[in-house]
Amino acid sequence: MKEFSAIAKLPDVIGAVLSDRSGALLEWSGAVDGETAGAVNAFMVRGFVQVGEVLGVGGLQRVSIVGPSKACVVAIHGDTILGTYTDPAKPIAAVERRVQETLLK
Amino acid sequence: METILKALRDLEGVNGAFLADTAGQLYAYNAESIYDVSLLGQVSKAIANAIDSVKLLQEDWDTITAQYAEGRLLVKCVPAGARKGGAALTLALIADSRLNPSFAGVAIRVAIGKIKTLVEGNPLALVAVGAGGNAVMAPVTPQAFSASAAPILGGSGMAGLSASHAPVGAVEVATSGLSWSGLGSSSSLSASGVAVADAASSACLTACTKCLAKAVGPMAKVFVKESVRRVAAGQPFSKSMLSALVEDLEKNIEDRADAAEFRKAAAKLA
Repeated sequence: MKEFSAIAKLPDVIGAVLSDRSGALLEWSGAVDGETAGAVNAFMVRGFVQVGEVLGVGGLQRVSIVGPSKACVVAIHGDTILGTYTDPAKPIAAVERRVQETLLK
Repeated sequence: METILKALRDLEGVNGAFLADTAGQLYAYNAESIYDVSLLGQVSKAIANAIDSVKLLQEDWDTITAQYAEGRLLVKCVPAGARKGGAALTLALIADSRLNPSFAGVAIRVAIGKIKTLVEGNPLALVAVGAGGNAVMAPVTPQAFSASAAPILGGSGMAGLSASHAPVGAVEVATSGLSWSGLGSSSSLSASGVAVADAASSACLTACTKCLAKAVGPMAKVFVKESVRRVAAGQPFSKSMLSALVEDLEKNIEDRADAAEFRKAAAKLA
């Protein structure tokens, strides 16, 4: 994925993990356990895809998770899943926008 | 509760709001008629399933936002606090593109404050199957609020979803190149933080992970890592620990037939 390094270098990004939809790790950078994060992201995405199918709200584009210690944006990009981990003190919307813009380039 | 959920529904772009526990059991809802109790039950179970995996990396999650092509789902954690039963709840909003996220954020915080006050010291009741209308509460015992309470939601609307890790497409995962990539060298600490005694033990762990993936899907790697830490107790994993590992891993498989198949397949690795 050519956008991966660009996303990993975005301001406020502390780590990034790229996996396929089965959870197999493709690429990672930063202070993240890539294998665990890749599997967890894929499993979580599967759950929210199911939710979308039941609700009839179209395809899943991304999932953002925010907590006091961590924040991440998990974006679906073709057959891959990109997890971008950021500083939870920073607004997640800005990271979502930057990730989206980079993926659409 | 009805007033609280109705206030959320009154936000522009919100088509439904519901309260569930971390096992996906529905407690209250207020939604458009297309979102009936059966459908919301399925949704809350699927959300609970996804949150179970999120918690492996982020136990203290607070907000999850899922963005879809034609809508959005906001899920907020309602901490257990001093409430009886001690289990956390999740408040979810089903919204469309008209939703103003800032307004929704404020409204959700207000709602959570009210929910906390409302349920503190008062047990919640599960939503009854087939009940009509909105924010329906069935009279059940205080134990119903416990995370371990048996769900009274059920029937055809709930089929196919489990509160545990669903093995959908697991065979595909197991045959798609899943490998224990971090475990390549002898007595080394892998990128996954798991140490192995030798190459044979590494190969054994890889094969065991693939066997488990047939039952639980991509979470197999995560489960194996956790089990190795428990079974090996700080020592590098060796093949002699396989039987203990298999026994520990079996606990992650809900379906008894799948568990038996995993045990059988893993026995061949010894």
